[in-house]
Amino acid sequence: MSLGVVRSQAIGTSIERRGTRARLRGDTHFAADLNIAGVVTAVVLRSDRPHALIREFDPAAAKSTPGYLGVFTWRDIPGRNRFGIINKDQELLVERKVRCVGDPVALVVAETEEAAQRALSKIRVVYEDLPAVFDPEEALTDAAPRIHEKGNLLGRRVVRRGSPEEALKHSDVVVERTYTTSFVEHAYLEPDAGLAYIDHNDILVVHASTQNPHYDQKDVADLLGLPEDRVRIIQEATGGGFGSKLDLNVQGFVGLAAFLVQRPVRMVYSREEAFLATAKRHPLKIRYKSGANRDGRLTAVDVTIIGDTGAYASYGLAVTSRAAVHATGPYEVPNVSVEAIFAYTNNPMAGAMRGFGVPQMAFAHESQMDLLAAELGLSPLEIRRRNALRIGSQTATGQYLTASVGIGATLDAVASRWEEARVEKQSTRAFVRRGVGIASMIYGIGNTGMQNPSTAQVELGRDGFVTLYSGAADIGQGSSTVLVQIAAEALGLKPDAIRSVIADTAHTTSAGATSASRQTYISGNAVLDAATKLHNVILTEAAMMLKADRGDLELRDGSVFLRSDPGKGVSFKDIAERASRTGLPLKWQGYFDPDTTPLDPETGQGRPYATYAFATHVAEVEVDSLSGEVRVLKVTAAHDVGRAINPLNVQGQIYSGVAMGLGLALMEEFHPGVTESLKDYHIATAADMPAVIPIIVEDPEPTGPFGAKGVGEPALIPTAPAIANAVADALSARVYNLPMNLERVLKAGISVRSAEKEKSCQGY
Amino acid sequence: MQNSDIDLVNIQFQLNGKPIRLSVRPFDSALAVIRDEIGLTGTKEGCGIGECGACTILVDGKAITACLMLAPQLDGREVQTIEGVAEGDTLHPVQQALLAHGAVQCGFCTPGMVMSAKGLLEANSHPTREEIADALAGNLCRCTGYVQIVDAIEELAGSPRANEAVKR
Amino acid sequence: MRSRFRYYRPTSLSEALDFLALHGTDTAIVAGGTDLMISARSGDLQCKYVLDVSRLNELRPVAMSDGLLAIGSAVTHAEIAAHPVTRDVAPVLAKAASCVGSTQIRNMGTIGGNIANASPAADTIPPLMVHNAKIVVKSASGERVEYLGDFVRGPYVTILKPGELITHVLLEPMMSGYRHSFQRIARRRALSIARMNVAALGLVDGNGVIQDLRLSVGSVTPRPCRMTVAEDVLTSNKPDKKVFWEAAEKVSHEMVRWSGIRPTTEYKKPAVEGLVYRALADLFLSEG
Repeated sequence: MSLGVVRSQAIGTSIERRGTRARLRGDTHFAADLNIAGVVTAVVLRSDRPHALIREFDPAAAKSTPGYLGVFTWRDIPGRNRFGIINKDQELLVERKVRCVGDPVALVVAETEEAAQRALSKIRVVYEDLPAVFDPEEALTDAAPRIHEKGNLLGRRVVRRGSPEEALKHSDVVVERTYTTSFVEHAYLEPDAGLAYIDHNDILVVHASTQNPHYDQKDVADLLGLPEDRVRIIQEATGGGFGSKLDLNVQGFVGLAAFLVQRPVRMVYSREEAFLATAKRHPLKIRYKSGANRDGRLTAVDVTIIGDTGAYASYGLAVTSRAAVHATGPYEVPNVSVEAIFAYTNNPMAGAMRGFGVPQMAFAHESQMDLLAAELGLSPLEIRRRNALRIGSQTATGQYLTASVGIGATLDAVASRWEEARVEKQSTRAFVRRGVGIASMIYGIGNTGMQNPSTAQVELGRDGFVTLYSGAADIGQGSSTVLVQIAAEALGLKPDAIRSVIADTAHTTSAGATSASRQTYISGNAVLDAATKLHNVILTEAAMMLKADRGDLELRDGSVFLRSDPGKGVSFKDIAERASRTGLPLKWQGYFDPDTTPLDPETGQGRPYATYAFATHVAEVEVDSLSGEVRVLKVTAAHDVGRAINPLNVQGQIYSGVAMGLGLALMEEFHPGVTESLKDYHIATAADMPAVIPIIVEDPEPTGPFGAKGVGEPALIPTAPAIANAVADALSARVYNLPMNLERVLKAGISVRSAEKEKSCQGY
Repeated sequence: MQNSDIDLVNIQFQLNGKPIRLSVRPFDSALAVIRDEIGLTGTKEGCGIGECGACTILVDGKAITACLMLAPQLDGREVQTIEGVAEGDTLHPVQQALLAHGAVQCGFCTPGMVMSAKGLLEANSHPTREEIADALAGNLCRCTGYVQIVDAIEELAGSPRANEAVKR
Repeated sequence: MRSRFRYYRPTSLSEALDFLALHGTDTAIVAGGTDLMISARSGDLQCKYVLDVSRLNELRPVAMSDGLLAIGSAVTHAEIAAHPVTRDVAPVLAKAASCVGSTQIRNMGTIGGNIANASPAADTIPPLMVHNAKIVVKSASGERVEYLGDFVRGPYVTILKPGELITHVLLEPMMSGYRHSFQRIARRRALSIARMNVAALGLVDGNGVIQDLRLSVGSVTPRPCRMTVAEDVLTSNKPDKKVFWEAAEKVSHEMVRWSGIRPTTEYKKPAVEGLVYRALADLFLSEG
C-alpha cells in the first residue's frame, strides 16, 4: 500500500522532543518519584560470594524489626522461578546456589526502606563456598567448576566463507594481534526503580524504568504464575538504559512483593546496587589475523573471539552472534574464518550494552586496518577506501548489499578534516605528541538473523485527533518523537497534532525491545504501515464525501483538500464522524519485520539484517608521555543514517556516542569485586569532551521509513578505535587493551618519552 | 528504631522564594528531606555520594549536591530547587536554551544541570566555553555527550538574555 | 544503613569548644559534609553527635595576620580559589583548590575538612606543604600549633584529639619573585581524585641561579612531606632540564624508599618523575 499526496514537513525537521519541557521543569516522574498511599519498600538480600551453596537461611531475627512485613525466598515464588531474555537461566531468588557476587537470595519487605534494610541485616545465611572461575578460557576447561548444569559454554558462532587459511598463506602481508577489552558499566543516570500494586481489576500493575515493557510482562507473569493479561507494565520516564534495562531488574521483585504482601511496593536501587546487580558490557579477548595484498585489498581474516558472559546469559548469545558477524568491519573480505565462543564465569552477568559486542570488535578490526596500512605504505584513509563495502558487495555472511551502503560516503565526508588534521598535528610542547586516527564501522539494524517484528496502531478519534499507540520504550533517545514524526508525515499532519500512548502493555502492543538501534527502522515501519492504512481509509472516505477522484486529494493539516480546487475540503473530524456512523474502523494496526534469514549454524552464512548503518570518525588527540594522559581534542563523526528524521536528535545521538566512546577508549573499566560506584568508575564529564563535528550522511534505505535506518549504537562504535589509532599515531606505538588508561598509555609512550628526554638534556 | 526515639531538629528556610518550616531527622540528607518530606521530586538521586550532580540545588545561590548536605544545614538558607526555576508556564532562559538546543535526552540529569548552569550564570554572566564545561563537570550525563548542553549555555552567555538569566 | 546521630550547631567557637570538651569522643565534626556524608550514608560513621562548624565566623577568615596568611578551617575550596588574597600570596593553593572535585564539591568542601580527612591524594596538601603550613588546633583547654607534616601521621590519620578542632591554617605567603606550579594527574579532567599531584615554589636570583625551591608531592608518601632530596639538587643550580630530571628521579627514589616496590610502582615511578619534571618545567621554562 502506498501513500497518496500529503503536505507535511514532519520528516527531516528538528521538532521539539516530546516531554522535554516537563523534564526541564523537574515535573517528569521517574519510577523513584512515584508515591502512592500505603506504599511499602522491598530490598534484596544479595550474595557476597561468587560461587557458593546456601547451606542455611535463617530469617527469624529479622521478623521482630519494627515495620517488618516479610522475608521471601524462592519457595514463595508462585510461578516458574526462571527468567532471562534469551536463555531462561536466571532465578529471581536463587534456589540452591549463588553464581556471582550480587545474586539475589531473599526479598525483604517492610514499611520503609530503613526498616527493610534493618530487617535484611538480621538475616543469617550460611554459605558453603565452591571453587569459582573468573576467566572464560579457564571456565571452558574440564577442570573448571561447573556454574550451570548444562556446563560453562554459553554459545558459539562461526562465520566462514572462502578459504581463509590458503588466502592468508598467499597474502603479501599478514598482521596478527590480540586485543582485550574490559567489563564496562552502563552508568545510566537513573538507578533502576519500580513500583507495583494490584489494581481494582485485580491486575498487577508494575511501573518501571525499562527498555522492554512487553518482555517484562511475559517474564513477570511467568514468575508469578499469572496469565499475561493479569500483568500490566507501564514504562515510566526512563533515565537511560543503554542495554541494561532490557533485563528484568526490579520488575520481578516489586511484582512478587506486591503479589505476596498485597500492598503497593516500591524498590529503588542505590547506585551501588545498580553496579552490583545489573549487566555489564562483555569483556572480549580477540585474536585477529588479517591478510592483504600489495594492492591494498584485504584477502582474508581469521578471528577468534572469547567472551565472558559472567554468571548468566542475559543477551550473551546475541553478543556472540553479532560480534562474529561484524568481525570483518565495513569491508569486503573474500575469505573469512571467525569463531566466537562465550563462556559462563562467576563474574557479574554481562549483557546488552550499546553495540552488542561491535564496539569491541571495531577496536580490533580498525587497529588491524591501520597496522596493515603501515605494512603496505598506504594511508589509513586509503586502505579503508579500497576495501569499503559498496553496492553489490558481499558481506562476511554472504549477503549481497543492494542499497544504502554509505560507508564510502562517510569516508569522503571526513576526508578533508583527516587531511587537515594530519598537517596541523605538530605539537608545540615537549613530551606531548599529537595524533590523528580514523575508524569506521558497520552495524546491522535489528536482531541478528531472527524475527524481531514491531507493531503499532494509529487511530483517528471521533474528535478528529490522531493517536499513535506504540510499545516502543523511549529511554531518552527520542523514539516517541521520531515515531510521531513518521505518522505525521504519512497523514499530512503537524507532529504536535498527534497524541501518543507509549509503552503501556494495557494500551500498546509489542514493539519489541528498545535495542539494536531498531526502533526508528522497525517500529518506524510499523507506524508507517498503520498510518498508511489509516491514510488510505481517510482518502477513500474523503473521495466519497467530496465526490472526487482519490488522485485529486491531498492530506494537509488534519483535512483532505481537492488539489484542483484547494478551497474545497473535508476535515478529519468530519470523516471520523461519518466513519463512526457507518461503523468503519479508524484504528489500524501496523506491522513490520525486517527481511532476514537465520544464519547457517555451521558457516554463519545468511542474511542477518535487512539493512546496515555505516560511520567513520576522525579523532585528534594529544598524548602526554610524561603522565600517560590523553586529551581528545576533536572528533569528526560522519554517519550514514539513511535519512535523518529529526536531525537534532541524530546529532544528539552522535555527541552521546562520542562521549561514551571516549569513556570506553580511555577510562571505563569495571573490576568485579572492586568497582563499587561512580566514585571509582569514571565516565566522561563535560570537561573531558572534545569538539565534536557531526556530519549526517543520508544514503536512503529503500525499505526504511522515509529512508531511515538507525543511529543509537553506531554513534558509539567508531570513537574508541579512532582514538586508539590516534594514540598509536601520536606515540608510534599501539595499545591493544581497552581502556587505554594512564598506565597503558604511559607504557606505550615510553620510547617517545625517552627520545624527548634525550633531546631535552642535549646541549647542557 | 522509630522516629519517636529521635530528637528532631526544627528548621526554617526559604524554599523557592517561600518560607518553609519543618522538623527533620538530624541525620537525613537535605536531598531526602526535599524529595521525601517536602515532596519535590525534581531533584534526583543518582549516586548519593556527590559524584553525579543529579541532586544539585542552589543554596544561597551556590550549586551544591543535596546528598552531601545534612538536612539541618538547610536552616536559615535560601534554597532553590528545579521547581522554583520556571515562572509559571514560562521557562527560565537556561531551560529555554537547553530546549532550543535539543540538550535534553532522558532528562534525569537535566534538573541538576539546569541548577548548575543557573549557579554559574549568577556568578559569571559571560563565561567562556571552557568555564561552562568546568562548571558543569560535576553533573554527569550519559545521554547527551554534553555538547548541546554546553552549546546552549554558551549561546545564552553570549546573548543579552544572559543578564536576564542572572536576574531570575 | 544510614548512621544515626544528633545534630548540634554552635553559634560561637567557644560554644563549639565547650561542646567538644564534654562530648569530644562521641562527636564528629562537619563543615562541608563532603566526607562525613559519605560515611553517614554507608553507616560507617559511628558517633552520637555531629557538630556543625560550617557557620562559625571564627573559622571563616582569609586574611594576613602577623606576616602569615590565615585561612579559616571552614573556608571552602571555591572561596580559596577565588579569594584575591589567596590568589595573591598563595596562588599555588588557589590553583589546587580550583582542581578539587567539581563546582559543587568546591562550594561545600573546606580546607579544614581536607586536612582533617588526611587523604594522601588531597589536592590542597602539597600546596600547604610548600607554604610551610601550620595547623592551629584549639580546644577548651587551649591551643596548639603543628606543622602540617607533623599533624598528618599517615593515610587518613592525624594527631587531632577528641575535643580539638582545627580552627585555621597559617601559611607563609609567597614572596615576590617566586614562581609557582601545581600539577596533577587524574583519570579524567574533573570529578576525579588525583592519581598524584605536585606543588612547587621557586625563586631564581639575578644570576639565574635557583635560590629557593620547595617541592611537595601528593599520593606517593604515606604522609605529607617536602621532597628535600630533590629540592637540594635544584637549589644553587641554574634551572635546566637535566637537573629537573635528576630532581625528578630523586623524588621517585624517595617514593620507593618509603613505600617499596608495589604493583602500582610500574606506573607511579615514571609518572611521578614526569609530573615533577612537568612542574619544574612549568615553574622555570614557561612563559609568564
